[in-house]
Amino acid sequence: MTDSVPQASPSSDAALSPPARVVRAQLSATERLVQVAQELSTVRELREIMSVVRDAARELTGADGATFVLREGKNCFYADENAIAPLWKGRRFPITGCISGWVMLNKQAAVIEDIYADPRIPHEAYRPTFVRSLAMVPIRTSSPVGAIGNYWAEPHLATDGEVKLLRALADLTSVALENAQLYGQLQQRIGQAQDAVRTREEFISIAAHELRTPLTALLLQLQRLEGLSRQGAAHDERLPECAARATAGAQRLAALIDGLLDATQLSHGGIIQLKLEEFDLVEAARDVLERFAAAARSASCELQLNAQSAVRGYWDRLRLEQVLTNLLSNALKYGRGKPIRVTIEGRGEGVSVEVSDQGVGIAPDLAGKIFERFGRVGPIAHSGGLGLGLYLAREVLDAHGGSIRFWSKPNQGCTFTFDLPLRASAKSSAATHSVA
Amino acid sequence: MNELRTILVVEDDSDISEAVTAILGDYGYSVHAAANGQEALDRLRTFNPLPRLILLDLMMPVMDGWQFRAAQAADPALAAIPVVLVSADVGVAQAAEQLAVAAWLRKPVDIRALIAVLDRQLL
Repeated sequence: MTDSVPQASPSSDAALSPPARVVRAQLSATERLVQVAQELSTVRELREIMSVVRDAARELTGADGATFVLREGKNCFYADENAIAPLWKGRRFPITGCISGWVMLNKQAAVIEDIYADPRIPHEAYRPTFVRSLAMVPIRTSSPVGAIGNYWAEPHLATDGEVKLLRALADLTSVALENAQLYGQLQQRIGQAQDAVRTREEFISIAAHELRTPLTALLLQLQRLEGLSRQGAAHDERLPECAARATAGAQRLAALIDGLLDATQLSHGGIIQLKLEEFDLVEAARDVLERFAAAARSASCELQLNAQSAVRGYWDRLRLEQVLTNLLSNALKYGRGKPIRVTIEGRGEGVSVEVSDQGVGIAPDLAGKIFERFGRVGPIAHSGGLGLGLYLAREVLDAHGGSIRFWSKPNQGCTFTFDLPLRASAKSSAATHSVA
Repeated sequence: MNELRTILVVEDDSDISEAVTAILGDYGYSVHAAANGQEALDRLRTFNPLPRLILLDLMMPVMDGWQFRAAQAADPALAAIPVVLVSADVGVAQAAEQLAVAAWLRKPVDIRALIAVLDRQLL
């Protein structure tokens, strides 16, 4: 009987005829393989797969030990084992210096009756072990990712039947590993999709919340306008002022919505469109500061503009005014009662702009987040604006080929500095700034 | 100044603060404004007599509404001034309960509702 199948269930085989014994053993091995297939179909992790396979490998052939080897580039990693005494679990061998490596590189099984007579075996590694004979099959023959080994303490030439069983087990293992990998990828994708949904929900809820602030101001002015009109005071001096404030409120709401749309577009890999023109940045800054005069008065902030001379360049005027507006409104919000300084300095081929306040500063734990969308988090969250200001400022400056940085110390204030080339760089002037 | 109808508005958004000040002015209230909790505390400690009521926003820079309420409660001279919470936060009712305020309004605020609350509080 050269092609015997091991007796996985030796209970009462002695009473059977040799052919009946073979049939019974084959049936038993088939049952075990079916069981392995079922178990492997339910497990999702490598650790669980290895555990199922190493136990089955030993049982199917009645071997004294089984190993589960994984290919790790140029090494073979003996990841798991089930044996009568320790083998090499946790150890790595060069793929060219061990039998599992040979099996993987040659994409074929190895059957060795006397390991000490075989040049493919690193004898030193085997000397401390019980192993005399072995059989090893690759997992996935086309491009092996691992190997399953069987070991015997007594000389044993593994039969074709045993090798076939190991091959069948290796095939099941290969499918299970691929499933586990696909499952892992699927889980990762699901996680990413859930993250995206969460971010979107967060965006919508913050947007809805923050739009309420200017909407509240606008509605209050409109209700006041309505009330004053009802009183029939057509020449009431409060009417035009109230109407002007309502208009300003609506404009602020519109600007906020524009900011939201910008951010949404950017988050979808969109671009910031730049309309380049030549202008004096100092003059533009003066315009912005004038628009802040009333707000600065009510915040008791003195606004200072320091600039030696005009700094002319090619930029998008509205966008840079938007950047200054965002930086100034932050400075007013967090630096009430203290002066705010804007310094513009031409430097060779570029210009450097500093907006500096002496307010509460930025908490160190928030420092890494302020340029993110909705960077304003924690106790100062939702304190007006969408938390988009610095994010959009950075994107606008990026699109110009510039950059922004800040310095801050709690209760000493903060300084935002941005640098721009005098001519927005070619890539950005084509308005090709994209955001992942 | 009508001392019986003096109100402190604590609101970081200057547009809202100015609108509320103007409207309450139209209705004969005397209004002081503070842009955050810290400013409100500083102002309250210089007031004599104290305002009859505080309109308080929740989310503000420097010192928010929660921190202000804690500081107010810790100061025996200020603890008794009734507070009306005015916030855009969806959880304003819950916050009102936790902060033990006299009343609350959700932004955007309806003027008539605001006046009704004030009249009731300042009866």
